[in-house]
Amino acid sequence: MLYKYLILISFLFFVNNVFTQIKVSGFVKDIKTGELLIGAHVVDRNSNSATATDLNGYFAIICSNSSLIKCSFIGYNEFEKSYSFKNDTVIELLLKSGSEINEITVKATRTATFNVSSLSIKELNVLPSLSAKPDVLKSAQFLPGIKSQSEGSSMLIVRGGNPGQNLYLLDETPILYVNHLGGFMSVFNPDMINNISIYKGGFPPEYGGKLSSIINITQRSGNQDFIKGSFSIGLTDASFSVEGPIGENVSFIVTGRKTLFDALLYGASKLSDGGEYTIMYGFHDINSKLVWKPNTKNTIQLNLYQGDDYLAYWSKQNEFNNDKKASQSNIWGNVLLSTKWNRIINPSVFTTNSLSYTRYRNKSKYLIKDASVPIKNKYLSSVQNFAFKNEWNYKVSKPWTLKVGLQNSWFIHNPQSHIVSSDTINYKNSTNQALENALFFSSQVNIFNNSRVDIGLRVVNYNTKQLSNIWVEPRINITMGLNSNHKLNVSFTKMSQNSHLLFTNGSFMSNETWIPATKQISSAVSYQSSIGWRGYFFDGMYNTELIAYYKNMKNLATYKNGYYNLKNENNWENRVESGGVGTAKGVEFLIKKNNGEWTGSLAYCFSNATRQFKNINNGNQYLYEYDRPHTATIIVNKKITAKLNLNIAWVFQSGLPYTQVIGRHYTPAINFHDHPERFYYEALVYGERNSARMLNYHRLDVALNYEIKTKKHGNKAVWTFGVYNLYNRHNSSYYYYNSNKTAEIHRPEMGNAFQQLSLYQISLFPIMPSVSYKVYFGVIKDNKNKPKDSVGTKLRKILYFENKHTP
Amino acid sequence: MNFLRLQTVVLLIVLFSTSCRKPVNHDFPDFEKKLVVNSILVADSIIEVHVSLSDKMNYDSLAVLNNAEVSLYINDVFTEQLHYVDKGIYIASASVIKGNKYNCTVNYDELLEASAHCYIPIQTPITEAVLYENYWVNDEGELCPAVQFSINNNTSKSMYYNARIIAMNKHNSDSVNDWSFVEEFSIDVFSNEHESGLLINKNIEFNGNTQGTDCEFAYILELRTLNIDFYKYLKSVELYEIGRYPEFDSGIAAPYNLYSNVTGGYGIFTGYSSVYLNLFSSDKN
Repeated sequence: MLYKYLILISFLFFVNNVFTQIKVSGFVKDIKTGELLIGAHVVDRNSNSATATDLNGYFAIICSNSSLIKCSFIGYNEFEKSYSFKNDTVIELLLKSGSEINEITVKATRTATFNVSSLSIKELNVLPSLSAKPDVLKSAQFLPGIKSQSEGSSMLIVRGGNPGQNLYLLDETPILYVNHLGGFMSVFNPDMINNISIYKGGFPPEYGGKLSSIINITQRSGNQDFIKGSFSIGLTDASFSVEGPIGENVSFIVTGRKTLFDALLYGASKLSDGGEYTIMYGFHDINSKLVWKPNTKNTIQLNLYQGDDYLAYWSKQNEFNNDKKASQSNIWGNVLLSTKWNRIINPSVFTTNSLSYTRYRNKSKYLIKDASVPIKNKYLSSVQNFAFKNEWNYKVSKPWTLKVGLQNSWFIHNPQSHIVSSDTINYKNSTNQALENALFFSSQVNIFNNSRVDIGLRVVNYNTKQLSNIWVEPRINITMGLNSNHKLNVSFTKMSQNSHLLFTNGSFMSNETWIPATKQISSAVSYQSSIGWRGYFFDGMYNTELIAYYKNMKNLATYKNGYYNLKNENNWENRVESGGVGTAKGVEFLIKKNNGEWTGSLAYCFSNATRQFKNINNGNQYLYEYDRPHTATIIVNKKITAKLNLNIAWVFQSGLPYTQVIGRHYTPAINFHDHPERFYYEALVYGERNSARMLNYHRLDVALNYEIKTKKHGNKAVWTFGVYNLYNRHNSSYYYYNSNKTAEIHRPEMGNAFQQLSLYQISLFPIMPSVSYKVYFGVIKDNKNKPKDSVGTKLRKILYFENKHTP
Repeated sequence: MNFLRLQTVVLLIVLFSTSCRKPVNHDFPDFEKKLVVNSILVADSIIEVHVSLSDKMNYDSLAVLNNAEVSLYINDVFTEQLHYVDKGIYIASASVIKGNKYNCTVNYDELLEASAHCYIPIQTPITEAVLYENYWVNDEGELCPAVQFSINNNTSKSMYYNARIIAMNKHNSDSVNDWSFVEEFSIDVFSNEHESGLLINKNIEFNGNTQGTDCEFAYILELRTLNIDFYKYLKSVELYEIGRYPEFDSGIAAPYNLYSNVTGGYGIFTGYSSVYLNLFSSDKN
């Protein structure tokens, strides 16, 4: 075996040395904003070598001495220029933006990787959404193989995985909680987003720690030439962004959002019911990024994110005691701080180093001030993660790229702390610390006929006080080019996850609790295989994709039957059912029209997902809570005029499974002392878990984007009018059995007389019109007003960007 | 300002029009009718068995059976045929005796048959119990009582218990025996499975005295010694009730079926024996 490897390596070195090769590397950027362009296609037409920019906007390509470099990116004018390279060179390619809202759908570069869907901010901005404001995770749900956990939710179910099996990365830093407003919006502010890449399988070895997906969100960098920004207002929130240069080679961007209805809700509740209860809900988030680029080869960036949801109520009195004042507050959200250093050491070697801290916490406080004993009840559940990552990219030769690195993460889990003042209850000793170290290696070899072999390995060591595990995770991804328009792909990946998300449906407030793997609750592991075909037709106007996958998951964890939180439990492990097995299989189909009078896509997915736990459903396998066999989406984008753009999205999903009642029988009351004799009441008999299915789900969303110029200053502004669920379908959120359709619950076990039961559904989102308005400032209005380079900028270009090339 | 006004109006419309409940057109699945046998045998009380038929979900009340054949076996010996009283209840002439094994067989319409058996454990004495009037503070900021008690632990076999507090009040202070039931508190279901010591100590906090302070209160500690079926049933009742009713603010637990030990049918045939202890206050603030 070793012998074969040596031959392969020798061959690759031979290939490396036979030809005269110039290594050209660098970044592709937007000429106006300096924004890095991710996924831009770079080709040397003379040597016929090609590559695409990575998540850092970085590329490395082997060229001949005389090269014809072509660079393209959707929404930008194509760039083509001849060069004579004498030595290995670092350059920047600057692209000029084309039509703003033209030819926009999921982009179709022929270098796109299988199992990965990509969205740029331009694509994101035009997709219909619940609040007429773009939303990353809602838009992702239009892609095949990605489903929402429930209607309106931001939580993603990727290829039959759990909501907690998605690795959300914000500029490569993990973020744990992704919901605002009970999941109706995600925490990712679209003003801050440059690009979104969603891996559903075929995971590269530099990523790990979650079983089902990697959602890599690259944030924008601030404009390097002048101050600009935007302000937006919609039904749910107002947002702003400001960006620009600080000095010669530093840029910043700050964005923020805040709900507008906090005061409205407060006022309305104050006025109703005599003001006995006052309620307030809101959320905010703020992102900022500072980028220092001392020269072409080095970039240092600093990211900060902080976002919270908060729900609070104050009561003047309650039903038990008219004199008491009580208050309760719940706050939940993330904070993230990270720094990253990208360095081109030489045209062949690119390295990134990052250091980050993330914390998710959900805390609540309950106070009664004027009770006979003032009471303060506190609850906290949190996860903290300190991480360091070091990664090296080495362009060994024209066909061969190596990547190696390490990642160290220190986790501090606190599944629950519950402190009640003046009381004996105190569940605060649940903190668990864990160290996760990972080494990764990958080799990417481009072989003839557009074929590529990616082979990698990730070795993970997980340590806590109680246990130490080592996971060896092979990652294989082979793409075979049948010809220039058709490719086949096979992949196999193993992933491990050393924490579990305990989660139940139906809660407005966060009920997400992260628990670490322990001696009793093993780390989860998944094995995923996929095979796919991708074809391009009519000169790339259409592309299609067909992928089949099979995923096997082991050591899954969930709440034990009957529980939905860890509160009031001394040992939280007692409420966790572990050792579960899951399977997911499916076929995804996608056809896209990438340009022309209209653009759009049709996606369909057939899938099946199951779970099996020893103590659930009598140990029998059952359908996964979020299994939907059929899902389909149709998206159409049509540019009506130069300023008016219409977007239509239709979504179809099979109904979610639920556990139905199959019968009834009498059962004896346990508490009957306030009745003259023991009584018997009707209890329900449930069938197999998740053996029935709710009604099918479908809806139509429409959005109109209308671009105008403000009267006063002539700034660009965009009105977005949206209608969610245009034909007002009452889709089921969940089913329940009750005696009447009001929220009042009939409880026969309390001795209440028999009442007929029916099955009821709760629907959350009827037809919902929405509108938002976004105005930009500092934007270059036309070429005449384009700001000239300052002296400093000119100097910077001379000093650092001597190889800058523009179309 | 105009935009804010528009936004407010739209938001209110949205809030009022959302969260719609409506019945689902649904054919309840076919369900095989089975006998339902329920009985909680209490030591030293008359044996009472409730017999009914299970049914599919429909809009009628469940049927109780008045002509079933209910046979009782004590320690595997046929003892008697129970006779029907009312509302599906059949009674025996014998009382429940601790330490006996009871077996009940029900036949109906020559087609349906169900059987179940249980053992009535011997009660476990309470070695010590103390009531603390003001021991803890509940969510309303009220000082509430607790009881601490101890029992001997039989480490050689699994034992199951249900501790209950019964609150009584005295309507007429002149009358010595005029105590009446007010409320039951804090059912604590536990076993000795994780207890290795010779003594089991329990602490039960409960919301006492919720009827006001006008009456004189007394608390009684009842310790029921259960068989394993009753223990499993009580645990299942708790989980059944959590999963039965969705709550928007706290999430939806998965549905859970009640435990049954009836072969060929549904229901619970079980029993217990109790000891009672009047609790006297030993205040601890």
